[in-house]
Amino acid sequence: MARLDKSRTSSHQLRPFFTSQNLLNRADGSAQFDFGGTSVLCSVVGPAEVKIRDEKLDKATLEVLARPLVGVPGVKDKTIEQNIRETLEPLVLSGLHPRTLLQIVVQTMQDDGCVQSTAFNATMLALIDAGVPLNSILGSVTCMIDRKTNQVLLDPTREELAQAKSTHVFVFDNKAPPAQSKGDEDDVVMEDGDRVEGHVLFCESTGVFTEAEYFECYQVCYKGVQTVHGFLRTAVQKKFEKEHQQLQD
Amino acid sequence: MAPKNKKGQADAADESTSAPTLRVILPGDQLPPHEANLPTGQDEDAVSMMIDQRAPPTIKLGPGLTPMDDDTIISVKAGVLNHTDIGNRWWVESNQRRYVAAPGESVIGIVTGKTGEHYKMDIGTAQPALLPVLAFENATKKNRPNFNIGDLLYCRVAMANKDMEAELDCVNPTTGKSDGFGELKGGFAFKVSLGLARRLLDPRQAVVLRELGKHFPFETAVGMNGKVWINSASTAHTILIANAIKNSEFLSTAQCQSMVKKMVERI
Amino acid sequence: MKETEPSNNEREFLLQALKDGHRIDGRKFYDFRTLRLSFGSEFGAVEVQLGNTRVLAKVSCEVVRPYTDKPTEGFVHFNTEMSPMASSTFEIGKQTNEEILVSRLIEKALRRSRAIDTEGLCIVAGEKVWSVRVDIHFLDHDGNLVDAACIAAITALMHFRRPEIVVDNGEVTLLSIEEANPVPLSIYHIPICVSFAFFNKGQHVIVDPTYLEEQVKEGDMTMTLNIHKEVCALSKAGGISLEMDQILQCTRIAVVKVTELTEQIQAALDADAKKRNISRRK
Repeated sequence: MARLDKSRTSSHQLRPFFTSQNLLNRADGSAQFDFGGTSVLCSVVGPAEVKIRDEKLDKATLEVLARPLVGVPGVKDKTIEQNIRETLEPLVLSGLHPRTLLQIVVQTMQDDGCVQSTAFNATMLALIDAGVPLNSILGSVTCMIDRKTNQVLLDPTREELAQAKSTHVFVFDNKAPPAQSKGDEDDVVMEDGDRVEGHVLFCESTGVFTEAEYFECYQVCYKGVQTVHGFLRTAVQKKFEKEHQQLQD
Repeated sequence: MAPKNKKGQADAADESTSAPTLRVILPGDQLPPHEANLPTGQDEDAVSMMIDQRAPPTIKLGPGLTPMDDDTIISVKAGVLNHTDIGNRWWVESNQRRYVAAPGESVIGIVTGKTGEHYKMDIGTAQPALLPVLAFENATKKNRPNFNIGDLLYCRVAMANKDMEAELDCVNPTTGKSDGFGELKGGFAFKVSLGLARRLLDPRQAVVLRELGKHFPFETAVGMNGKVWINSASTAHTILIANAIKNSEFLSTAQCQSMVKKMVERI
Repeated sequence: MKETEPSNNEREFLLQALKDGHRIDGRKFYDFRTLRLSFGSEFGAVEVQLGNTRVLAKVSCEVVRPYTDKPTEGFVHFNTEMSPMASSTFEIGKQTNEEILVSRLIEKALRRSRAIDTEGLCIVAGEKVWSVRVDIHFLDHDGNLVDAACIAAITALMHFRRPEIVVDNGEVTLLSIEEANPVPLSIYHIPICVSFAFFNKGQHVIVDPTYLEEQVKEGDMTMTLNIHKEVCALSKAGGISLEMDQILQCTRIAVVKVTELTEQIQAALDADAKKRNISRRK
């Protein structure tokens, strides 16, 4: 069954990624993440001075602002803000910077479906770029179930989403489950993408779907996120290689 | 257990002798247990044996690494994993733009306020740092230094922790001498990433400073907070130096040399 | 968030450098920073980079009912709310003076100079008109937001295509891109802002100030002109007083700059159109 998005041949194929880090000069960290025609820019400032009203004595205050491409921020953007903040809270080691502010601004640059997943990934990369201490990293993809064919489509475009019966946004982390990390000695998580198994950090499903369909989506998205994690790793690796050229010469 | 450990060490040694490949790790990645010379935790007997018979392996963790509850060590920052055999130290060399104060580091700050006993300093941290008026060479209650708001000072972080404002000083507390700390007069200051600031302070890596030094004399002070101060005989030179330093961040040695050469030729 | 002012060393050095005829980033006094325009995949989306300053403009449109006293006029709105992304001194829901000034200037430069034919946006008089909306997103603030935003907005408007429409007995149908080629807006002229900053009691005039230069400046002025040497707006909000000659001098500089910038914008639009044509034929 062919996709509406003619550039892809398989239903479980992601669109081409693109990322760029450290592109804003005023922010402490920034990153852009693209899934094909969808693009989100994220800036991070912090740990910075916090207003007394928002100050927390034992940890950093996390503030997320989501900005739509068109119009003023509405309910949809507030939802994304809250989703990102609550998903990040267990990840960010905010106890290391008490009485400070961590301000994250997420700006949609282009919208061709799956903005929320793109925003999650852009935020992750921006936090890494800003050097915010984290206990793991996350990756996100969206999938949908087609109304007519009941097929699971990974990373749908806006055109494809119009045909959706249900859509599912998943976020997974890169933590190895404790039982496995105690495994054999060669369990070097660094070089071994396949062995990393994540936990669901966030999941949002809308529409009508069966239990079987849900688990199929889970599987498809889990595989998709592995690709995203691998890509994030390559992006960070490349940046550090560029920075450390002079030591190598 | 013991042979396994030896094998692990041999591997690590091989790696250090071969071409220096960067080992970039991301938040959540574990420090490979066999390389860290840690008990891997797979075999409880072996661990207790080690504790009983030999000195427990000590490992010193630097910035970016945190031990977890289950005895594993994870990275909390993205960066290059570094290790030195002296004291079995491990740390992550990361890069960021926001400064978090650490004791003993030299920083460049701007005076933003004055109280009876302290100067309030902006060193790029979340909260302003405090610099006691008596923390200067030969300062007494009657003879205290006088700075204006907006002045630049080169100081050292005397005390820093996450719950309090950092405290600075401009004097070596044991000798009472200024050790080169104090006001930076004239010149120009600008901000770079903390990683670049660290590299400018490392003589092995400060290619750009070495290259610039071949062409004209200049003074410089680099703060670990990413603030760089430079002064030279002419404004044109100072501008060139500032821009060359900013340009050098993502260049290789050869690129850096040709960049400086081109800029000098244009002047 | 409050921000520390530049140090005395930076201030004095900048002023001394100007006296010696240099700018901190190595530019000449009347040079703009490198301008880069990149277009999104959709019509009407443009990202402008002016040195380190970054602005994104996105044009969208919808069909609305006109005001009863102006039944044949469509609408053009500009949204210039600033988020802390550009600079943490900006706060949501709390406009800074700078923000208000920038919004007003853009409004004056583009809407009040009648650059866009609002009558051409009429579909059915008194019933249906187009409402065009320009969202301007400030991404990075390294000085001179006004010029960058103005270039972004006008380029986005020129790049924008609205859907073709069919009116049948007062019934309006929008045609998709597949059914009919979308239509460009009718634009009368291209207003371009050129900002100046003054130092050392007005002795030194520079174009396109960076953030540091803006913090140290003694006064500023923004001129809006088009390529026909017509002044569309002029704003000098406070700062040191200028002599008439200085203002005329600035106008002469602005004319040259506007010609250069208009050519760059046109070249970028042409290059993009060419690229789109090729991809469509494939």
